[in-house]
Amino acid sequence: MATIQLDNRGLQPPEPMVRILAALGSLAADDEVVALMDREPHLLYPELERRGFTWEFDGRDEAFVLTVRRVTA
Amino acid sequence: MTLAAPGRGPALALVAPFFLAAPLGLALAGLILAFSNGDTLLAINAPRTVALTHAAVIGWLTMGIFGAVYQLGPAVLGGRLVSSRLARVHFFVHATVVPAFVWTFWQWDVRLMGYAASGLVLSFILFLINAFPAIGTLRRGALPARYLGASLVMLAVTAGFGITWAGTLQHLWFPVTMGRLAGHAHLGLLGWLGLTLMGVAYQLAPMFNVVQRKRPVAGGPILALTVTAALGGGLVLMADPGPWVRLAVAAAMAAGPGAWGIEMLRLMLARSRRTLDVQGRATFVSLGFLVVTICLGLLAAIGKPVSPGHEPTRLLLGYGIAGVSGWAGIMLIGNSYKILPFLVWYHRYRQLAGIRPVPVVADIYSEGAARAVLAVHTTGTIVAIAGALLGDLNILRAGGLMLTLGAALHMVSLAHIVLAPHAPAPRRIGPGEVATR
Repeated sequence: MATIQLDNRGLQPPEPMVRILAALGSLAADDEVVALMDREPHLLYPELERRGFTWEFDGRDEAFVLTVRRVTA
Repeated sequence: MTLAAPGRGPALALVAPFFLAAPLGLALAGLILAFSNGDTLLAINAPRTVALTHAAVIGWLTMGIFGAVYQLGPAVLGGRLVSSRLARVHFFVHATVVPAFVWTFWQWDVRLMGYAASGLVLSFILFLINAFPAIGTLRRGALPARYLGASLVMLAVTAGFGITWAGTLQHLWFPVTMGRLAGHAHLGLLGWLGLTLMGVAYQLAPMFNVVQRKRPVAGGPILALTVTAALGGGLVLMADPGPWVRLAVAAAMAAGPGAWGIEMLRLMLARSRRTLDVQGRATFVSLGFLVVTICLGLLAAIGKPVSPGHEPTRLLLGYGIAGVSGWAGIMLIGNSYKILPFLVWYHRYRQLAGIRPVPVVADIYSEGAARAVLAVHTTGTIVAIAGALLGDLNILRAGGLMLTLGAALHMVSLAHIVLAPHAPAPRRIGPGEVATR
């Protein structure tokens, strides 16, 4: 299992969304993308769902963390 | 009615018409200013002045804010629209009613004014049905959502007084004094427009200028202060108080936006993105007009006549132009070059992102055209303020024409964003590639 880490803080919309979607292209079944965010990416979720990914968003601390994985059958 | 899921942005065809139609309100207001007559400099409640104020505030700014709320609520604040179809009906109602409403002021036809005002209240009700759920994170205490929630309540209060004033003009229940007019105007300008723009700026200014090292520190107290001043001050003004009470009300009303302006300046100066685009420039220019607005507002509140009438009409007119066209208007113009291009990007390119190269938001609008709009509008606003303060009708009219020209350029540039094809920019962002701008 591999983790691709992205620091998307300090980027203008929609660059965080583009970086995450680009990283997902090479994601194996057990891999995950962990992205540091400035804010919750509400508009990314429908696209993740459409491409067959699931996600968790942790917005408790100042640095928000989004974790994305492939949906497993 | 169908509920749109949270996170699913509204359709481009739903939001774009609000942004594209909004400059028509500005063009109309500019034209009315260009056809000012002697009454404009003598009485702030002259029919043409009331007509141009409503064209600018309801036709231009409010129309643009409607589009912004429909977009930002679901996209940024995590809310949802109750019904997209209702929002489309709302656009049709508002776009139909506003010209009629402005026409009744121009003609001073109090009977038709009542009907048009009723149509406007219907438009606001249709908006509020969607707007409250759209700013869905209110319960979680997000600062922009709290500002928007308060501003929606103030819109309802302002509309309530407005329809009452329209009713009394027709049925003569009681006189609409200068104080009652001022109270209604300030509930709308500070309570509705001011709070909305302040809240949206808390979201968009740090987001698009990349402010990471500083956070807003006084957003909550500023909100409480502004709501109290707008509501309390508006009601006090309706009692036609003397100059010292007016001055105290003006100081209270200025305190919230003034503190917000300092906070916004602090955030903008701490930005990581040093090169300013049109939205960043507009934020600074808008803050400059906020200072002018506060100074003129305090001077006007003292009430020393600077014209043959009993009201300091020239100061009031200059104050109104600075606040509406300068502070609020320039903030809206700047933000529209972020909100609309992002919306176009989201609907046209998100499904391609990560699969093949896509343009970035900066490729979707012309920075040069946007800066030209900002320059023409800013110049027109300054000329119009100068015309009002100097009492020179020709300068005032020239300012109106420049504002109309700026509105036309603005509309063309926004239409280009929506309608023109945008070639992907392979050098910018592609799979596995990081944006450098």
